[in-house]
Amino acid sequence: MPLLRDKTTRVSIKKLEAGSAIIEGLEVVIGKIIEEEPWEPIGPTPMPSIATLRSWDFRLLQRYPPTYSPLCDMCCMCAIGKCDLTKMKKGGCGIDIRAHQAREILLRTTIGAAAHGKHARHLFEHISAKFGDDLSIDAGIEVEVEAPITRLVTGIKPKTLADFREVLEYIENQIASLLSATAMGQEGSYLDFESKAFHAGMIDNLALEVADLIQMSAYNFPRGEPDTPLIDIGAGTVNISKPLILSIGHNVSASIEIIDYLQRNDSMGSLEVTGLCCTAQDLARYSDQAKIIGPISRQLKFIRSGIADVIVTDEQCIHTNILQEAQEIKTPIIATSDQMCLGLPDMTEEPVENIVNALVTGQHPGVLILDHSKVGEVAVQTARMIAPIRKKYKAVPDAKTLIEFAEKCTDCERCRRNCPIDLPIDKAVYEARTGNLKKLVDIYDLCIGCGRCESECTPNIPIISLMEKAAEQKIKFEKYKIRAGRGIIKDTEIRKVGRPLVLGRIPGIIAFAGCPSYPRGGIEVAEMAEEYLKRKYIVVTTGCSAMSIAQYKNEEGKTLYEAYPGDFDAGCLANVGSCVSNAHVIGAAIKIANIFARRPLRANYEEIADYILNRIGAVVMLWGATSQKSLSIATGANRLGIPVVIGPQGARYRRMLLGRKEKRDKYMVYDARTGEQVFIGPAPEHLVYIAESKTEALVMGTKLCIKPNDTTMGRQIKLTHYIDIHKRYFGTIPDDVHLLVRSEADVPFTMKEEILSFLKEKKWQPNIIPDPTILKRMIRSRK
Amino acid sequence: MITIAASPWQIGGTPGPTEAATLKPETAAKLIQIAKRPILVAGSLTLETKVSNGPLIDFIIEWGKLGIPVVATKPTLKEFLKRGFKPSASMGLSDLINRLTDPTWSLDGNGAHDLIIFLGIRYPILSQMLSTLKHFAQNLRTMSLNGFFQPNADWSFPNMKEEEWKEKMAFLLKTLKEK
Repeated sequence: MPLLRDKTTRVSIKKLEAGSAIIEGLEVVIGKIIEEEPWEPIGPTPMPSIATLRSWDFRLLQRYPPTYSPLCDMCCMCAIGKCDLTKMKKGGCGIDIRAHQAREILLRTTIGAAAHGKHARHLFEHISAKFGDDLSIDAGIEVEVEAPITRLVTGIKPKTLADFREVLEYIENQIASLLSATAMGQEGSYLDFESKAFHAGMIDNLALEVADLIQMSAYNFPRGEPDTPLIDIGAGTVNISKPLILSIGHNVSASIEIIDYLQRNDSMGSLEVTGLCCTAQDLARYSDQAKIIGPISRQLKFIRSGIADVIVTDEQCIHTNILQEAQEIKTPIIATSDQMCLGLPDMTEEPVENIVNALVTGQHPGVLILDHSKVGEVAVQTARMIAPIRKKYKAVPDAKTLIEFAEKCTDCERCRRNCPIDLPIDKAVYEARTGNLKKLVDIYDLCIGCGRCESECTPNIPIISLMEKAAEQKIKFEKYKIRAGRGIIKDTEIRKVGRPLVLGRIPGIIAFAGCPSYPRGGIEVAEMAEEYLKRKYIVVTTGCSAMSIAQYKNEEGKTLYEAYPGDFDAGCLANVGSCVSNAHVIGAAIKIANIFARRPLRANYEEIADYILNRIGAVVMLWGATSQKSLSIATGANRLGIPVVIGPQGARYRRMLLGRKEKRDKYMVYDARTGEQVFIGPAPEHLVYIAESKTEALVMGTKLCIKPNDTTMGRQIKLTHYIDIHKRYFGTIPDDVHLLVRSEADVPFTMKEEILSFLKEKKWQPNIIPDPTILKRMIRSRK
Repeated sequence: MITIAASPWQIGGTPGPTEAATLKPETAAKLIQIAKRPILVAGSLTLETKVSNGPLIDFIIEWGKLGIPVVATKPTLKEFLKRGFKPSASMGLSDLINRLTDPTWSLDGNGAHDLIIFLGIRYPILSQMLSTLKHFAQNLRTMSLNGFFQPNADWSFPNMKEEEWKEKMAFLLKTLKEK
């Protein structure tokens, strides 16, 4: 059926007399007519505006109202301020602290969406120029639903790169609209700000999908294969006798040119091509010869090691002081994105030879090259030429020099006081004066690598370098394996796990995503993943979390990627890829609703979200919450009804979406069969929860997978895990079991006596298992 | 030794014009004694933090035995039970803070609490949770007894070295016992 979109020009003639001809009431609309194959009738919400899904958002917010934790009591956003909003005082524009916090959430989620939107746009333009607009969007075999978020949100089924042009225009338009709402004198309701933040999250998730599908198609990344190559990860895996290029950021297109150049010249093994953060993940999806240094927390530390001969930056999550850091070790920088130019001269139009010369001779500490096809040759030639020159910089200062630095320590504690996670840096540095570096080694793994300790140190002790030196021997043994990101979840996998997941026999999907600001190191993410794997949850991971999981070996000396298969199935660990690959995790939940349950997908947001909220046990774990992008990814998941557990550092996101299980009226759904309102218990209890510790997150993860639609067998299994893990870590039966047991058949068989006795004590009454929905229109027949 | 009073432990942590009053142990004891419905919240650092006579958890148990209701955050519950002490309640910290913003809520359903005392909670998360209560639970007062100044509380111990904090905690407990 042809569709008319984008009515761009309208010509209207009321009456025109020309000679003998009279034209009256003529209206011509010039727009875009799209011929498309029939695939699914269009649903109710194609390309929703910022208010289209407001009523859905308000349903969620009614059950999970925001709890705010302001980081700052002031508003400094306009020239009336500073306005003191403490304790609900109003600012000059009339805003109070609640609405202002909600505005901050909107601002941050929009920043995240903008970063991912721009990332997708950059990839689109680069790949369009390189491969043409006719590039097929190829999500691989056994994949019919290639772009679940795009189909759901926009109603578009992308077949070629060109089809994403309209999607990107929609994304950019929505970002402008969302940002506009944060202006002074616009939105005033905290709930509407939150609704718009959900919208920003949804737009973010859409941008993720566009970005990853484009790069998967263009660069032939893995497309859902579970057995992708095992890639070297860890600083100990690199051969420091070779010239080394380090790529940092998220947009891999420039770094791929390095691999291509080396392959074209048959010299792949002559250099080490390495990466940090998500660019590294995506490089590993492109070539199993690329090496991953680690998550972003290793950035500053690895740069200080001096090992990198050339640093290539693209966009996002790059230490903004990187130029100065690189200058300290005489490593030239090649900036490749207009998002991060670093004040460097633009040499895009210069011949390669001139650029290389400028970098090797130190004429410029770095250059900006916006033509990615040039980056490969420049980076490789520069690395080769400069490596012998900068040999003496390939080491942190020796232990003696560093101890001399430590001797300047006055034990003022300011390093610790400026540490975002309150690490006892002061004690470690003070002790290093005596030559005892053990405490520095201990905090090496815990440190998030931001460098704030150094900026506060009065005697200018290079604390990060101290740590790097102290942990030198340990770093040499940082040799691990990570499975290259597999990308999309196949339709066949969805069909296999759909029924057991929805019925509850697979207890849930746990997705570890986000950054590495962990309260107690990356090992906690790996430990959590292992616990869920042993309990046969489907464990998926992306980005820095996926890298942190790799940097841990079990009792058999294997990383979890070596110990568990990479399928999307119970007891498997799937590294889906970089941050933009989070689209496939969220997309998997959407695909279950569409492929397994046959719910219409196209532009049918509310129904799909209602299905996920009530039926799919999936939880996002954001253990090392740091960036605005993490928040926007998570908020997109929230709008689809997927709960998120955040680590304690995420309290600085300033907002939780919490339910209260004692409030029965908040946990009512319609039984779609009868229209009757039914109490479902706290299932799920919260939408955004900040956990104080790893154990609390683990228990909360099992609980939030409980859904109203679980069959009795499924609920038995989920309760078994919830009760068992609660007893293991907290020592008791959870105090809300009676709210989650609907009939005696739900009670785990192995715990029957104990639980029945508990239920009796709580005066428990049985309840029916509904066909749950919170959308009135989904009721099939009304009483 | 440098002791910086009334300056947030985390540099840059000044939230705005309203900050906690710095607390001395004798004042803390008085405030606790005059509170009608206080609770003591024990967080996940209670095991690894040491006071003069052992881990903080034992100190809290000793204090709890004087009659103040103790809420163990979830990760600490097991350790309390192991020591034969049953806290008045155990909740996730986020869950507890959320409920405390509701003036009709209390642990026992017998009326709102008026003083919430925090011990053994990691600084960054406690700072944010205290911020919630500062803005949205104006019916109650909050007190941080960790040795790190928390500006979002109503009352907080100043920044102290470990030994000084231990002494002050011992003095506080002694004063409460003498009442």
